[in-house]
Amino acid sequence: MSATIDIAPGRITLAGELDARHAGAVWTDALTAAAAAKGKPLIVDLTGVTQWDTAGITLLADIETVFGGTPAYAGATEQVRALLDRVHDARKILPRGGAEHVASWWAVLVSFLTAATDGIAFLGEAVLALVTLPTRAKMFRRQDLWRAADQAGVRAIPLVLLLGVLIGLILAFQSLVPMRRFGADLYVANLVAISLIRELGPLLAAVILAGRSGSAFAAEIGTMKVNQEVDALITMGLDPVTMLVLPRLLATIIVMPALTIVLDFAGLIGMALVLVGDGIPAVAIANQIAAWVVPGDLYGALAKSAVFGATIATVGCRAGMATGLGPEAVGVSATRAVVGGIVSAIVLDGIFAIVFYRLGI
Amino acid sequence: MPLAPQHLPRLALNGISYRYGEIPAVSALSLAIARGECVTLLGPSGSGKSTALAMAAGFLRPVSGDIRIDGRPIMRTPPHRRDIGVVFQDAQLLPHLTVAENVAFPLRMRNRGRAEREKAVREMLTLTRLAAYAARYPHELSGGQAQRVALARALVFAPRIVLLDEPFGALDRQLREEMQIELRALQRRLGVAMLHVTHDQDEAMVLSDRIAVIEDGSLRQIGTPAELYDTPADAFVARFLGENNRLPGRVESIDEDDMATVSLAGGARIEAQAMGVGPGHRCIVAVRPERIALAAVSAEEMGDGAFAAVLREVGFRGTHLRLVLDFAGQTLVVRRPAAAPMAGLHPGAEVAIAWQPHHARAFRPEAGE
Repeated sequence: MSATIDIAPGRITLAGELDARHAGAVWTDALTAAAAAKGKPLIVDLTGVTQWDTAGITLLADIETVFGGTPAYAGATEQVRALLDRVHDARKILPRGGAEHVASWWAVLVSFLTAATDGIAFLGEAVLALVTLPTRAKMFRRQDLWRAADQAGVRAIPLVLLLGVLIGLILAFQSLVPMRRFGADLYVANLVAISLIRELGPLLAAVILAGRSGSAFAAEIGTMKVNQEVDALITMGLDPVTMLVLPRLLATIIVMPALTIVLDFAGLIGMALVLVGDGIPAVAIANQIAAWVVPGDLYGALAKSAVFGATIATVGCRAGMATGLGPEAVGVSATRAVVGGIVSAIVLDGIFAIVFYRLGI
Repeated sequence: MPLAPQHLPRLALNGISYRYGEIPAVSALSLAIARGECVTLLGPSGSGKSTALAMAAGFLRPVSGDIRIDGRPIMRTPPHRRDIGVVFQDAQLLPHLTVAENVAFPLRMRNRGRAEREKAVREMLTLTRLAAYAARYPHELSGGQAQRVALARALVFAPRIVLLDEPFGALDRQLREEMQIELRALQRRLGVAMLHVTHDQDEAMVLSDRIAVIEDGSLRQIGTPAELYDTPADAFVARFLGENNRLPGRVESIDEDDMATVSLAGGARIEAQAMGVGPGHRCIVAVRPERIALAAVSAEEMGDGAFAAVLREVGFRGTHLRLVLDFAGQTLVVRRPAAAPMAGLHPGAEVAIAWQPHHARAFRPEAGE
């Protein structure tokens, strides 16, 4: 037996099996009839329905939506009414409707702006904590600063060296082929050195920092949040920003320029390996770099990298402090820290490019 | 005329609500805790009880409502200025400080003098039986000891109220029971007000002057443990607090004393106190296992209001026996003192059961039943 529908003015009679397999057959007719009856009295007769599941109940809920109210139900058992109540409750939590797309775009914009303002407010809080640190000097634990610097800096050096050498190799190798056509093999040294020192060094170090340490900060603080450790600090009158955020923030500001220098150096070594292999003497490469790279390139890049470090630490700590409830919350925070850290470093890099260009650096 | 401060509730939650995104966690919860009173928020996990406590502590800000301590609004007061002690599920001790230093920590943060600090810490360590561990570090303590230190730290500065969020959840059963009794004695002795959150009904019964049962973020019933146990207000409270037999049926009629005649799904007709049900309604009849009299005789022999049932299982539980019966197509649990005579009570035996009509309560079924 399947589901049947009988439509009369002011009355929709449903019968048979209103379950997931059969309810679809009467869905369109039922909704059309319900739409036609909008604003008039409507009776939905369910006396002949022999079988129900949530599909049937959802049909009733859709009829209500199209009809714009609750019709009179004839022959509805208490179970059907109870199920209908549950569907109503579920819909309150997950609102649906035509305005969904508009709402979701709006929601994306609002959530982006909220995240941005939250981040700025959090940075402000951290700066305030830094400025007023002398009044809370006891809460700031130097061991935490050195531990964070060790984690984010010293332990990252092997990875930074490896990636630096590889990037130098790849850049030199890729540029060598076209440059050789013009007999400009030697200028590969300028090309790679300038792009590494000015742009790629700080940016790659930022990506490594976001992946290694931004996520670790979010996970550490997030776990403390989930375990109520942060709440415990707050009740004891200890400021979590001073205790947990400042050491990490200062540590990244210290280690990022160092990591950038290590990455630049490793990249130049990688490049030199390719060029020496191509028959260019090492001294020529060194002279070429010394002649074309000015100290301003390096200073600008180091300043940039310190800002990237501060941003990544802020985004990571902020993600940790905003960790919600539930077992997956820490993972979500860590992901947010990595994505947010990398995106903000690249956006900032763009801003720096414009500023440096205007300033003629 | 405004009330004198000593008559105001220590802590008053007035219609507080909280939402996680779109999902309501606590809806218009109101609760007042008197001086020296211990109130437990009891509910299943996800019922919003910890969220309510987090709002009282100041970790979360309610979307609506008002929180007062001694009549003073505290919504804008940060947690460490609310003058509350908080005990979490994990002790959360500062690892680089000894037990005595941990206990002294709140006093140090409040700039109390050294002599006052030492005296208060000594007294509190004695009260919590920790004097011998004063020089130890947190990693040298057992779970129960660490939790006792956390308790001492929450009490040492004589807070207006102590909030406890499942404080013994991480301890094993025996230790938990010991700590419950100890905490109750300590609370009575110090006369401190407490708001305690748990999902463990036994813990709630032991610790509380009053229990507030919460589900889906709203208060279902508040009362003394005995009131909640003997006169639950709805089917959820009856199910959640203590073991209860739940027999589905339909109300036939209700007399002027609010006694309902219910025809059970299995065909039997019984009397029960009507709790918000009307004639023709489906209902759930709740009867406590210890309220059911049972004998190895026929229903006729037992007398009026007795029913026949078949004994299926006899379980020994130390202090009592837990008997499982088939009654009118339903499973029924009966509890008897272990020392009661057992002649004729073996699995498969035909027995008679009876209970006083006022011990049976007919509730509206819960949503989804």
